[in-house]
Amino acid sequence: MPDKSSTSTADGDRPDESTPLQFDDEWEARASERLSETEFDTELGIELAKDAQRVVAGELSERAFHEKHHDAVRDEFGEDARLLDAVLTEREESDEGEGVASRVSSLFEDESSRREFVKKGGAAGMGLSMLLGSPDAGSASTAPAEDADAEDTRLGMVINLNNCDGCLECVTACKGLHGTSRGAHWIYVMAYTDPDLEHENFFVRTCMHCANAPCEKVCPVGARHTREKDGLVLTDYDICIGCRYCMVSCPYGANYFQWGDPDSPRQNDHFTHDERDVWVDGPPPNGAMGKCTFEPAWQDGQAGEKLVGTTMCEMACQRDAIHFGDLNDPESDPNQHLEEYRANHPNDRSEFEDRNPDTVSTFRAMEERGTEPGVIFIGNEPSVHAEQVEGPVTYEDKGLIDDRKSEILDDGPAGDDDGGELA
Amino acid sequence: MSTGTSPEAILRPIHTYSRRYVATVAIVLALIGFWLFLYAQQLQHGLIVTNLGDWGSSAGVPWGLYIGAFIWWVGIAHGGIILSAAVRLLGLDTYQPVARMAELLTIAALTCAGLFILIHVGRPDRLVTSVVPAWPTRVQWSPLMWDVTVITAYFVLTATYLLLTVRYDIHRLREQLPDAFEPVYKLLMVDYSETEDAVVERMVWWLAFAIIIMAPLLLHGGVIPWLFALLPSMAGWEGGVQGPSFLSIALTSAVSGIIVIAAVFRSAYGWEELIPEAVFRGLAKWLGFFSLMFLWLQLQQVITGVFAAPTTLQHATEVKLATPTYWVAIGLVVVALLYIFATVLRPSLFDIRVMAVLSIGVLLGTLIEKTLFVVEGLQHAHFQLYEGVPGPYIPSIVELSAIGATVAIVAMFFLSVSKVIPVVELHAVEDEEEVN
Amino acid sequence: MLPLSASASYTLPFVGPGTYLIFGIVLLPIYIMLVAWFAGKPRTAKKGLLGVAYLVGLTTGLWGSLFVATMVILYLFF
Repeated sequence: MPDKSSTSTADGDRPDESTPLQFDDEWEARASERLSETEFDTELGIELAKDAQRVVAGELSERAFHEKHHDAVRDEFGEDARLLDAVLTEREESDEGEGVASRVSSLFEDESSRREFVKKGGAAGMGLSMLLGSPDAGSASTAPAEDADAEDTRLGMVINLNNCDGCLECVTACKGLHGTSRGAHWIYVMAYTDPDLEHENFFVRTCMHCANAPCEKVCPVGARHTREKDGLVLTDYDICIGCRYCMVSCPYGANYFQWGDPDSPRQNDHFTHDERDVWVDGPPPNGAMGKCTFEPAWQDGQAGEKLVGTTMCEMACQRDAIHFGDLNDPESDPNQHLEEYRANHPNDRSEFEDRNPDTVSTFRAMEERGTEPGVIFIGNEPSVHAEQVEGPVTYEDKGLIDDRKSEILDDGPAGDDDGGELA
Repeated sequence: MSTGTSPEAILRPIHTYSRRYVATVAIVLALIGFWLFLYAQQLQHGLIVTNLGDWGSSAGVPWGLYIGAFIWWVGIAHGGIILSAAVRLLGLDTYQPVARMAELLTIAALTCAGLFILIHVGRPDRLVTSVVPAWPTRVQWSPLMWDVTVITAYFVLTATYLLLTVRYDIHRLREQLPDAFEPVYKLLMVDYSETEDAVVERMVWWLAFAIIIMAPLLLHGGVIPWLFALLPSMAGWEGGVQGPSFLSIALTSAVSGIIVIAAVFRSAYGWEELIPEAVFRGLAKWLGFFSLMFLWLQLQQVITGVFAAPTTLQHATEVKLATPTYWVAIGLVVVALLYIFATVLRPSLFDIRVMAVLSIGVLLGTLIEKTLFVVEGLQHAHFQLYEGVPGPYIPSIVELSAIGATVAIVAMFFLSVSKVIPVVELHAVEDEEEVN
Repeated sequence: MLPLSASASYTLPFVGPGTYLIFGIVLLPIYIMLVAWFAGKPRTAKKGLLGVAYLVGLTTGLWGSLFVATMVILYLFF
């Protein structure tokens, strides 16, 4: 399990930033085993790998890295293609170090010598490509997700569908926090099959907090609005007339109407009202509309510093699937996760250097609808032929089935005398 | 002048009370009362007592019969202006005897449309307090707010038209009108003098002009279809064809409504000469024309939706075609159209009662088509992953009773108003030379 | 005091498609009608004002009665 507090992309353990990287015996044993399979020096390989990680962690400069092993690499492989000067010059000239990879690979005059390098590279090659992979941020695949006016805060998510396993913890946690009624799943996880995909996949549907939200445009009374501070799309529960036009206009099905009295009504506390003192969270009152909010009260610091910049579903997810934060900030959780994940899924460019640097696919759901959604997905986009199926954990297992209607309608239109839903 | 077309004839509803009248009032009040009892349940428990639900993971339908009926009543309301415009702007005097009835139908129908909005929203208590202060900002964006604006305008323009034109009648018939309603007449006649007639004639001409531009083109062929066609979410709602399509249905149902009301009054008050058969034959031809337009525009949507359409549109159209209820609706209109065509070929076949019954069928058919449009649209969104979608939707008893109640309200409106003012214009029984 | 709600703030610009649609197109026939009421012949300003009084009065009456109805609902059920 990746350690979220670490900024390192590697396996080294790092209690805090001031202590040097430690490599435990288990790691050394693994590296040793893998490297001994190659025809080259295992010790050198291990040293190169360790130092490569140190460079990434900022403990060692690139120049020092190249200088340190230059002779040994040349002796072992017959050449040292890690051109120090070229690397340094390129880095100074461009912010993102674009072109480093092409600079290095242009050293090889023909295919065969590239292939030789790959075969000989072993762990060194691995370390190098990691090093070269991350600075190649000029291309779209590693660019941080930036939307519209990059100066503004835009809270959104990167949801890694490859990491999701349908455990439904996020769904349960969200319901627990917000007190939404049965059947109202502000976050909803769907397992689905797709003819072109071999395995079951998952789709996690929150509200997309669109920058061009149709729900906000169509609201006749201005209850559905976008918060200027951070782009959250919220519903003013005091104004909403319950016309349900927002639900009708939303392409994603993110809205949930309060058809009867809430199971756990909640009002007038620091969670339900944000810093503008607008009632925007918790279950809506009977007759109004609710949906995923990204916890505006938390973002406003009303629940303490620790909960700023996170959401309940992100906290509940143990699979590293949900990442919430400012999409316009390259250092935010979602952007960091994107960067890390791309770095961890490099493409094989040893033979063909023009290939995409990583094999990571991202998408925003139903983007062609023009909504400008604020959730970026890593993984496969469900095709038109995708069909939802029961996942490994069912909603029934979690006690999340909606049985509100039967309670009222079974007794006929007269309903039960108290007029409320039974909790 | 024969007695059949004298001023006395148009006063007959005001001067007579029959047992049939009282019985009708009783039935109408019962229908309204039944619905009120069920509506009270809805107000107490919330909309959970209907069969509506969230679209998406809950596989429900958030807009159903309430919205279908809302659209239907706004459509029927268009009859008023079509008739008045035909008479005033185009000089089609044949329809003058039914012009005021049609205008009254507009007022009643728009009231019912507004009632369905009240019934439909989750927080009716906020319908004014949230909407009115938000109007200045939200009218710039929300199609629903445009809707509210144009319906209010249409209602107010038609009511103004009625209030201005009725003054001529009341002035000339004052002595023969019941004393009990004298306060009402006084109010209606505020600041009246005979010199105003020519001025008011011109003013109502311009009123008719404003309405005929606004109502068909910008209300039922405008903001109402735009409620649906402007959205990015539902596959079956898209396209510029929605405007003309909705308008064709509105005009079809509007003329049907007038035929029914005119037939009922004609039969109840012995108005065979006042509203001659020629009026119904003419209305039938218009109904035939509008029905043809409706069917033709359905064809447009079907063919563009099944030939080589994008997957979601193709799917939505195929669903529409596979729905038996859709064909019932189409069939009800086709039957009326065939009858009308037959009577054009063989005039002797024409019978007002048959035409009235077939018009009721057309009204039912247009209500079904509009409700299906709303419901099936919501059952087939562009986003197709939700397993439960489409979920089933059958209107609940509270929703169905509201249909009966609004029909009853329209009936009640006519039953009341016809006792106070003449429902046939005095102009219709005066000499044509005098009027012009 | 009356429970009138203030509009929430939002980041959509004030002017939108509805601005042009409603004030430029939909209400245009009404503008023309009003001009004709006060500009054509025969006319008197008095009857024109009567017409305007009907328009304003009916709008107020319509929304006023609706307001009363919604307050009754509020008192009885919410």
